Amino acid sequence: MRSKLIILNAILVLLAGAAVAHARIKLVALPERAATVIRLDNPTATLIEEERVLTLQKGLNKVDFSWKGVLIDVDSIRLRVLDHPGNVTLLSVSYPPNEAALVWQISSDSDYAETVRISYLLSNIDRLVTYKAIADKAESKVDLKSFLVLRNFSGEDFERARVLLDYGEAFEQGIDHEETKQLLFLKAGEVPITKVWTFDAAKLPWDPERLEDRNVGIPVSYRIVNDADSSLGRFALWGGKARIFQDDGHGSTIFLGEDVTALVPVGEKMELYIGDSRDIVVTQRKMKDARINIRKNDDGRIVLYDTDEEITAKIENFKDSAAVLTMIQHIPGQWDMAECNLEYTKKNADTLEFEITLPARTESGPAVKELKMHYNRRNVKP
Amino acid sequence: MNGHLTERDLIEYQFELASDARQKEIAEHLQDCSICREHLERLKKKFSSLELLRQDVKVSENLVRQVAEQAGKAAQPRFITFRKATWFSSVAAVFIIGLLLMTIYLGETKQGGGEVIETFTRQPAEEKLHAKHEDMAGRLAVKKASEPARMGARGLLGTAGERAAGIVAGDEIMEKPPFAPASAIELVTLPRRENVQLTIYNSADMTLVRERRDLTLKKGWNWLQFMWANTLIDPTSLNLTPLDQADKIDVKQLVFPARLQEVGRWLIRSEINGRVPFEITYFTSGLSWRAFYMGTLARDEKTMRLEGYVRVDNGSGEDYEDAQTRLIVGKVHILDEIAELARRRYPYGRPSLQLGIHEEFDSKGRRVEQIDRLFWGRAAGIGGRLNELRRKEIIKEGLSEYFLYTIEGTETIPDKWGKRLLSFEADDIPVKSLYKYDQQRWGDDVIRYVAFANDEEHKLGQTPIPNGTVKIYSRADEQGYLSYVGGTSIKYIPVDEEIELNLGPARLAKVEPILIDFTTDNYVFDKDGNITGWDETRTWRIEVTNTKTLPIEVEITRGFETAYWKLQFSDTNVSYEKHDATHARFKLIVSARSKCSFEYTVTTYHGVREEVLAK
Repeated sequence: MRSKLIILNAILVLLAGAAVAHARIKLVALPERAATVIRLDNPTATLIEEERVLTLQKGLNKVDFSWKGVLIDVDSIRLRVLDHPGNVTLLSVSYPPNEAALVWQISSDSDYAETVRISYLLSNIDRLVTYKAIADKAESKVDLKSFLVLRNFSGEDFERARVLLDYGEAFEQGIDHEETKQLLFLKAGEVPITKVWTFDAAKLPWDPERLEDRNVGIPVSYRIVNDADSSLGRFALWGGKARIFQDDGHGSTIFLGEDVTALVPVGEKMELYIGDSRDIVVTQRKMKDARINIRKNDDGRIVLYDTDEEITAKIENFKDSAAVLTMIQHIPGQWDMAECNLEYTKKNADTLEFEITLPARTESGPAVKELKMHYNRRNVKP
Repeated sequence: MNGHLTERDLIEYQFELASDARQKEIAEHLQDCSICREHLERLKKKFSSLELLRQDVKVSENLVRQVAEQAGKAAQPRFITFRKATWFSSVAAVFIIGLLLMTIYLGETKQGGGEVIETFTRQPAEEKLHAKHEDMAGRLAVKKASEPARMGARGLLGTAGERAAGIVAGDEIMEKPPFAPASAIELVTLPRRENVQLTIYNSADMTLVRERRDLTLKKGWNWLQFMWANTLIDPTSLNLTPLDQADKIDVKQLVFPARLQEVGRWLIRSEINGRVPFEITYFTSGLSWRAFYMGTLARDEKTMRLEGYVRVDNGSGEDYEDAQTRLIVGKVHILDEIAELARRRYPYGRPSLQLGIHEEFDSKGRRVEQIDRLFWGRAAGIGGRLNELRRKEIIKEGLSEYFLYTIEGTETIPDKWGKRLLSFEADDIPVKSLYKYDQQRWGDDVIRYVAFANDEEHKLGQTPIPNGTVKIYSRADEQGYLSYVGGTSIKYIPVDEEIELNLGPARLAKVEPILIDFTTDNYVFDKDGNITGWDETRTWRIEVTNTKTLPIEVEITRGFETAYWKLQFSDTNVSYEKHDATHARFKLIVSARSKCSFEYTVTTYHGVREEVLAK
């Protein structure tokens, strides 16, 4: 059996050799793919690596690589000699006119059946990642699943290929042109979550009274830490669409919301915005806004002044459970805090973050807290 | 000879590579089999296009040896024996290259790689079509992995039936599933839907459908095909979960096959034979619900009866029979409209294109109105359990930031029908009528509000009240005739929060601000003589007229368009508060059929005179 194969392959070599003296050979002169790798570690481009056995004769060899109906980045094509890298040299690459092809000129110091690896970026084949999380009724943990979605619209069928992500084991998978496959590739149970309510004064309306029949929804997010304590942390979590459900306590689930997460490196937090809470109401008003310490030029025009500003924010929790509201306030420019009744963290020059713990509502009504912030902006130019 | 000839059989025959006995056997088969003859013709045509031999070539012994060694490393499906003379190697080259081309060609045309028979989708004999109940969104079809082609040596062991399910001898499941291409022509079983649950959202056109079906699995690999033509299902939301024996059943992947639209195929590895309940969930659009209210004020306008309703509408094109219906009160965050996802040609879109953008849409233009009822059951009568003599309850419970309303029992909602259900009712809710005047917001109109709180004191407070429209009536006379007061929208009201219903302009109350004095003073000039600061003082008289037969409470908000103002006010019958940096607010009670007024003086400071106030 073996000898027959030898002959066949030998003839292929001869065909390749023949092409040196004549017209360019066709792709069919390359032997069948021995191994194909689809590398999906880069979300912007997919690298295909395939190994083929080239039959090289001593001297100069020309090898043609052409494609049709697929989109290959010509500048990305690489050829690597695997068996005799010291004896086989890639001399040049030529691009035939008006053709999706290139020709390698390879010199060989002897006759070899040389395994080469051809790498190229192939368009229209990629992967997406999606997440599905089911939170428990108490919203303290989620069962997290992540799916890899392979999409092949490249024009090429891959009957069997090793698919490589930037982490985890490679797996063998075939995928045809125009085919989409969804595969479960991460499953983590009982991942702890933190529920976060955020009021950003720069993004949300201040006074609900002025909205008439609309509510101000306070964005609610789940926070998941990509670390070992969360049964995660083995690798960065890719960005993708996440759909979050919750166990309803009756053997069923409800859909809480969906969000897109960015790449989450190990140790970092994933924050998924699920929806808006209308049971926490913030009513913020500016009670004072005056110019003080006015400085004028010789013409009596104001050239510099400070401000004296007061902001109040009433926070009401109508929920029957406690919550921690993250309130973000912004004071532009140079400023001093004259008085503030709640503690805050200065996140950057003009951003203040308050962590406000709100008890559950009681029989007498909602839990209410009030922020009073008296500050001066300094050296404001008109 | 069993079955059809393989392409290798045909190639060997064509190039006379087979033994004489085999050549004869193949020739006899070809005589009787038109399919194989056609396939042979295709092969011949393919080979004739090859023009690869351009000159005679010679091969060195060394190269032959290396090629053999190297080629031996790569897995080859089959080796072919050459028995002819050396010159025949050229022909053999054509044949092998042809084989390579055929592989590519066959890959493109989806006729399978191994056998001619793969142009057809074969089914096991035990799979009989019994479309018992084609009723719910999407058809679900069990198709056992039935293609033995492309199997390696292990796959050749075992019976044909075992091969079909990927079982090798010794009752061991193959590591990899047998190849089973999706085909446009399928013969499938349709498992009956056992029950269905609809969770309908009102903040988005979205319904979570959960249905249970019992599937009969074979040990080994099973393909489960789901088709959703002419529905509004989001295929990216499809999920299949075994409800029993979960440790023995593994849903490996979901494949959206090439060229076939609105088809998804789950690959399931089962360690058991037999019937297993599965739950399928997905999102669909076209169902909606909304809340609305009716309020009836008592004659003294001190109390109100409030009725809350929910209305469920089915515009999905489907009839939902005996579905457990649940409604979600709350605002979920979603990224894509379900209807848009349902219209995508490819479930996850194509690479290089943004999801949801530039997608080609179905030429059928699937709209709710155009959906046929092919896959849906018989339209049932409206009303669900009409024979029940009591009203259905709506069970309400809080989950996360939302409220879940579960309608008691099941509902049947035929396509295009709506259904109204009483959500709650409360009598004698104490209410306060309030008349508001704010020229900056409403011009010269006085706006009438009815205020109450969603709490126990107001005979409410069990759950939040969802947003919706509200119509307020009042009792016009002793006979109980009604007068329509006004309608408005009501926002979501959490438990314990106060609500003010805006009933629009009040006909019988009037507020008129009259400027009775205006002076300017304290001008400041720069050295060029230009004005850089001044004060303005206005005295306003606010006249309030109540022509109603009941006393009214009026709230008047006045804005000064600057934060630098000072107000003088001394009327003890009117309460006053600074509302915010630029507004003041007055409240007073006006007796029935009376007129009253009050005055205030406000000084505003402009330009450099602002400093006066700042000091």
